[in-house]
Amino acid sequence: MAATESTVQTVKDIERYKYGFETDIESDRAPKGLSEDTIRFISAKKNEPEWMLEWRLKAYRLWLTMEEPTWAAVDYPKIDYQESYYYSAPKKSTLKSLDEVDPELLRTYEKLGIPLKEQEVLAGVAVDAVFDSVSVATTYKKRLNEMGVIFCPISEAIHTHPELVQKYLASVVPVSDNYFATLNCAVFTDGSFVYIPKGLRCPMELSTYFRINEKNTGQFERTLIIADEGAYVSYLEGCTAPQRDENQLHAAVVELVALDDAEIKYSTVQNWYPGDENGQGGIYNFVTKRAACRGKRSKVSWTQVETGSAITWKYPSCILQGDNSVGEFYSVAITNNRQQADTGTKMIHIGKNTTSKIISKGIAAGRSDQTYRGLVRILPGAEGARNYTQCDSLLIGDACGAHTVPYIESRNPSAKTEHEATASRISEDQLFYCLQRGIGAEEAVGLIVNGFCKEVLQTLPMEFAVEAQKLVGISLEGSVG
Amino acid sequence: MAEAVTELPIVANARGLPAPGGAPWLADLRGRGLDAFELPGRKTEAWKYTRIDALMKKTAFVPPPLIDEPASSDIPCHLALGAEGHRLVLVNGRFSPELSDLDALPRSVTVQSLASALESDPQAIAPHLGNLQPLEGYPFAALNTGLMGDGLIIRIKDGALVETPLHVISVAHAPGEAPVAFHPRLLVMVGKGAVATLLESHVGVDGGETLSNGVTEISIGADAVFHHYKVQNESLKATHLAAAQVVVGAKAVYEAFALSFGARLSRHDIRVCLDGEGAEARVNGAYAADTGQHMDTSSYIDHALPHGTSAQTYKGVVDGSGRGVFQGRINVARAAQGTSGNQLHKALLLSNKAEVDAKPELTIFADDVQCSHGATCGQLDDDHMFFLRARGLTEDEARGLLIEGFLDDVIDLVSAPAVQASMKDMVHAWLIDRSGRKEAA
Repeated sequence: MAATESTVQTVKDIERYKYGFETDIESDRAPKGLSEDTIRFISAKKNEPEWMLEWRLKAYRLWLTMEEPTWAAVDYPKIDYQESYYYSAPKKSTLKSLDEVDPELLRTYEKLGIPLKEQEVLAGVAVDAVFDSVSVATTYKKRLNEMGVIFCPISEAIHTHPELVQKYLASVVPVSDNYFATLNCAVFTDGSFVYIPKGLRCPMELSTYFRINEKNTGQFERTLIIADEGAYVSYLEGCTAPQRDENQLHAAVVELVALDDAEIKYSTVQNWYPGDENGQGGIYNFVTKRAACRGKRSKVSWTQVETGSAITWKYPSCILQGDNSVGEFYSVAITNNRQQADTGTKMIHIGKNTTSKIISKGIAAGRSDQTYRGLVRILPGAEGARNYTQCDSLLIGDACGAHTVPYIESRNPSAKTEHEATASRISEDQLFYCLQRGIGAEEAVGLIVNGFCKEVLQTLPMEFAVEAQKLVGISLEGSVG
Repeated sequence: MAEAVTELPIVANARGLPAPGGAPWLADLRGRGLDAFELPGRKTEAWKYTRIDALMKKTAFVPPPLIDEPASSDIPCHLALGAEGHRLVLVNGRFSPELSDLDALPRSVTVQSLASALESDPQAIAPHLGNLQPLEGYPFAALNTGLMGDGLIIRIKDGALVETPLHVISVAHAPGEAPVAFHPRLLVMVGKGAVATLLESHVGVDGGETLSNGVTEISIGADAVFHHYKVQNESLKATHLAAAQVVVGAKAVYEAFALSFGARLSRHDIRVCLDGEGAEARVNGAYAADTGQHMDTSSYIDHALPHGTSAQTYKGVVDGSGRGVFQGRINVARAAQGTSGNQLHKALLLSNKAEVDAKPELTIFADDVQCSHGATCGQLDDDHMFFLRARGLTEDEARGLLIEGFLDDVIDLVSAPAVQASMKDMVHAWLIDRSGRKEAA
């Protein structure tokens, strides 16, 4: 009897979100609700120039006229935008070194297993930590600065490099792009800005750590990365969030610009609170990510591991404008319990000899639902364009759903597009093989799924690959047996 | 919106005409059809790639005049399937006993025109008519339901083995100036364990603009085998819309092939529901579109019950400024464990102005499944061309041979040899026409 009880307890512990805890930091936030005043408040808090406020207000007025999209295969109660806070910042925000960072915050990172200090020293990664909305610690800035790399919070870049921000902000994702992107334009609080100068290969992986902390605070990050001619940068973005009961809205916008011969590698591990077993709580993740391969021979590679969030609505895309430019999209999406994910990519081939590759692996377990939704569009001028798409879905349990909705539009005869998709469950033979060798069912599933996703996971930078492999296992716990 | 739709000429011009059959259920069904009809526009996902609203708004379609029936010699039989069959001719959707040949029909098959059935014994078809075709999401099937007047009811008795195919020849004919629209309805009931073949040829007599808006409902009993081959070879002034609803019983087999060459705009909507354990569907097709043509194939395979199998292969060749559209969805319901569903679409683009849009789709709610889809698009392989050119074939001959091989490959899936041969002849004829057009240009 006692043994059974302890098993039940263990299972419960496993199912509970591992990173579910909150940090008590006094925060400074805007009044609840969304209005022009909220936007003025945010803009004033950020000490923004007049043009930025005008830009935000224009976006807000446009947003009021737009309708929330309903085409994605996700189901959630109507969001009351007046019930959220749109700005919250940890109080102490002008820190010169890590020592000045609130110790409470540092401990939070420690609990997550990624202490800033350790990262700084061991991994050689410069971390621009976004804790709620304000960047509280920017490390390695000096070294990067010397090389000409600009890596700072976007709110700072608005002051220090207004010409770059004005030139590139909303040049990839226009203000009017979609409901959530427009909302982001109006109320975004912070995010990262990266500029890699001509010909420089950024010597370290740049990384931001996003967390959502303050209760009821929508997070609206804005990231802008520009790789000038011949530059290279690898950017990491990872997330975990404390446990909470109310749904939180997250509507980020990420814009990448790659000029001639430039390359940007953007990796994400997303592990926000997915809600409990009954679908209570969890983050709404409505993100717009898009890259413009403007230059000739430019390349953008998106890699994402999506294990968290109650609802994911995310389509990192590439606009392949420059001749011979390359777009890649590698994705692993894992949904368990009541999670819903509608994710995929768009590859728009405009330039000659542009190539794109899409590898998407979806794993659905529990009562979750997930959809791959993608678009490959070959325009008439995209002579010799090439696309290869592979979408595989794995279903674990008879109550989940996996869907594939690709759109393929080809308007150039010399272009070649290939798309394949499969859906099946874990092969009995593979499972039997593992079990027979004494590997437990849960571990075996983790092993098989990791093998299934290998093609994607191996494109991640090393630091992330380890974390991601662990995440794959954790996300599926409780889904078999 | 609804108001705008009723004002469309195709609806307005049909109003006030006597409709056959006066049963209240029929009036109710027609009413529901018209109510459900909503002209698909820019925001209608299912019609995203096929825009028909402008055509429907500007063309003043009228119901076909009652008198003009073309002489049998005017019917372009060479455009229809060449295989032997019991001939059932519809002219502008109306059954023509004179042009049809039912003498040799076996006793296990009964054929009746819809109009006469509605007049004589409407109650007998009340449970079947409109039983399979949903009105929501199928705007033109809804329009057909609202305006249908004639068509065919084919019943195949349990256990019947019908050796000679039934061949429905649908002739579109607009003798006057006015563009003609008609809404034929086919109702096919295949009994348990029966084996039968239905051929459909859609052809046009030279003349004005036509719109054929057909609905076919097929129910296949348990253990039956039903073959269904269709050729659409209408004139370039024609618009061809067809919706087929097929329900396949336990362990029954439905085999279909749709081949399209004709019409300015065509849409072939096929939905097959595997509604019995171990049901099987093989749904294939091919199309060849040239300048001024738009061809849409939209298929939906619904695995409702366990152990169903579906296989689909579609191939398309698009030349000139033609446009090909393929939308294919495989749905696996929660209950449909042990499902196997596969689909493939391959398109060949032959010109700089041609366009192909594909949207294969999987929606899966069961876990014990093996499902896949694939879609490719490209041009003729340079190596293949080189191989043939090196052996002395002209560019045109080499291309022709490769295109023919590309399409014949999928036609090989047709299990009736005579139909297969006839379809290959049609591909050959299309290619000869094509090189004629190229030379003329």
